[in-house]
Amino acid sequence: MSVTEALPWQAEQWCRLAESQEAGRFPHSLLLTGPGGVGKRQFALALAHSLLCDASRELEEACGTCPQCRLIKAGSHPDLMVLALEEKGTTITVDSIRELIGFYFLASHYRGWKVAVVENADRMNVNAANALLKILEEPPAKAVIVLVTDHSSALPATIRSRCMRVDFPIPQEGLVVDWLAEQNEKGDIKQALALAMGAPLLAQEYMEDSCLEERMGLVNDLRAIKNKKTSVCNVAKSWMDLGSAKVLKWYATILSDLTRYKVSSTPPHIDNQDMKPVLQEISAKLSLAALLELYRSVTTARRELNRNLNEQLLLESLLVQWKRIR
Amino acid sequence: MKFSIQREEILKPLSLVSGVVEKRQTLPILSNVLVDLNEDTMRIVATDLEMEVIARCKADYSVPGKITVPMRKLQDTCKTLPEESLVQFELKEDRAILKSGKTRFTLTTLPADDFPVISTKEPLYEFEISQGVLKNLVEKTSFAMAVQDVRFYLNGLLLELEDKSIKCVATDGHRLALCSAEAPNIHLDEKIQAIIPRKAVAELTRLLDSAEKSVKVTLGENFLRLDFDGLEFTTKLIDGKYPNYQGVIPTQGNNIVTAEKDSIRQCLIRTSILSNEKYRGIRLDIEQGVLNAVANNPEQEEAIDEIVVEYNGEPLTIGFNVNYLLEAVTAVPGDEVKIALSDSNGSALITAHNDSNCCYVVMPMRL
Repeated sequence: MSVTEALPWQAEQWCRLAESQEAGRFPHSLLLTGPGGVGKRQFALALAHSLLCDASRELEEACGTCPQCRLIKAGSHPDLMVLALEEKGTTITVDSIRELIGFYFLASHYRGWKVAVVENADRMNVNAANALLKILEEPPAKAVIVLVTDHSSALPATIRSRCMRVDFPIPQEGLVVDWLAEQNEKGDIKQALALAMGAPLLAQEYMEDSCLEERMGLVNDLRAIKNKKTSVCNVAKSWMDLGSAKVLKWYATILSDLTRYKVSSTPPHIDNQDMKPVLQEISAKLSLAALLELYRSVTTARRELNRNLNEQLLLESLLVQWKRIR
Repeated sequence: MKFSIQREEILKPLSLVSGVVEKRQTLPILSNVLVDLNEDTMRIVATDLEMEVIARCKADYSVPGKITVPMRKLQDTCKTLPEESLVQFELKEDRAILKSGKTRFTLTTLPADDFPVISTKEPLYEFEISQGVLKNLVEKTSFAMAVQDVRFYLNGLLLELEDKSIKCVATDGHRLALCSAEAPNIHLDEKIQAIIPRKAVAELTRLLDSAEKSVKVTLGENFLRLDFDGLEFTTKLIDGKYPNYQGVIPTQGNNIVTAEKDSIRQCLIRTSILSNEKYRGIRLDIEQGVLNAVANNPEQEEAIDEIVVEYNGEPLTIGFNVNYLLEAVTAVPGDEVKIALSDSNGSALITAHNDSNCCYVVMPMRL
């Protein structure tokens, strides 16, 4: 299945690249930008796949059966290099970029295209970005670099200006709801989509990981703490097992919903539509100032999560703060 | 797939290809070797995506086929078996079973189709040359290659083929080495250039024999292949255009210093001890019949050495990086070295006294 069928909202971007390929002016460097969870990475890999496939001409879908496709599937295609972060919170260093330069200037294995995909390109440090700049300035023939990023503004302007930018905006809701229904996802599609801010793949991930239920669990935990039915330590431990980054994200949406009830005289638009009455009830007992302060602590904590903190202590402090607010 | 082979017979090709297999591999299949059994010839292939080595040997086959198995494990298991024992290899489902006497190993495998093999279709030119000649060319020039230069095309060795001649060139922008040899087997109308990556150059010097044995060289647009007896070595080439090196070889060096190679080498080695460790500068004061080498370091220490040379020009003072000078002088063939200089800002051309096949250019340094 081609990418435009698999992820229908990318058809326009794909067609544009196919046209430039047909006209013989395929760009030597692409910058795929847009919010997380719209399938930029999938797009980059499908593009690489299609360029390398023996049977595909002018960016048709890759055949999946030729020797090239086999090697790509096995992850051992010598003319494709994918640079990804090894673990979260690290940066792309100049050494990885040097490796990429070595790959880029070596002749291609099969005399076709050479494709390099850099995921999370905004995580390059200054040295890495400068090294990459060198190859963006004098690219060899029949080679393309695809940079993928959620935060294009974090990239140096010198890099942005040397790439053809392809934007991936949040697709239309109708299209995505149909698509998610086609994927046979069970659950509240609209709710997942609202939480994912409209990003289809993120919504799909939420539904597959039963995030919706987890989120309700969090609200129950918060209520239990207030009613003194459980201890902060127990909750912090169970939250850590769920994954701190994810939990803090939900915690933040819950708090922002609570705040919305506080400031709005008419029923506000909230993210957690499915928990309206519960949230409204909790919100009534709390003060606006306290909620805002806690919300600020949570956003700071989310930012600092990458910095090697003791997660249990971090969660406990946020929960203690929750216990205290009136 | 099923065959049997003597322990020594399989260990030899394995050790030949093992140099290419890196210990720390990100792609699991690259730590494997491809075992390709076609009738009674067996090919063992290893690659690191940049180079590929194929070793051939004979095996008693019963069922042909191809599969990839972990290189180190295969080598180690065979190594630990008693000498001259017979190894039976059999593929059962996706496991490779190695049997010898009462010992039995089961190894994991990966499909042969997932193994990336360099495509050596469409060769541009093929010729035969003596291994000794090629090895000499590579060894006399490769030291001047750049290391991790942003001008990626300098991080390799230029191989240039012309009618009846073969040439190797290396430069890092500060010095240049050029060495050529006659090659009666090459018949070309236009010259062909190829840049061999640094890693492959190192492997080449290891594989080439200095004897008169011949090697078949195949050059393609994206690869270079060398065919020895029972061994094939292929490397990808650097995708770029080598700079015009002819322009930097000085032609107007009228001040010619001729010296005994050994005496000038010893002189340079002695003075280099006290030259600046970072810049490696050395000053040469040349007068009629005498060469003075002077080096200083930041601690104000000084080394002065004087040797007798043949020189009839004007007195001249010129600075060089002593390492570049030393490497060039060492590489010059014969017992006498000829250094041609124009003035104190022009580069030096270093050759043998009566042999212009090898020449070295070193840029001067302002002291």
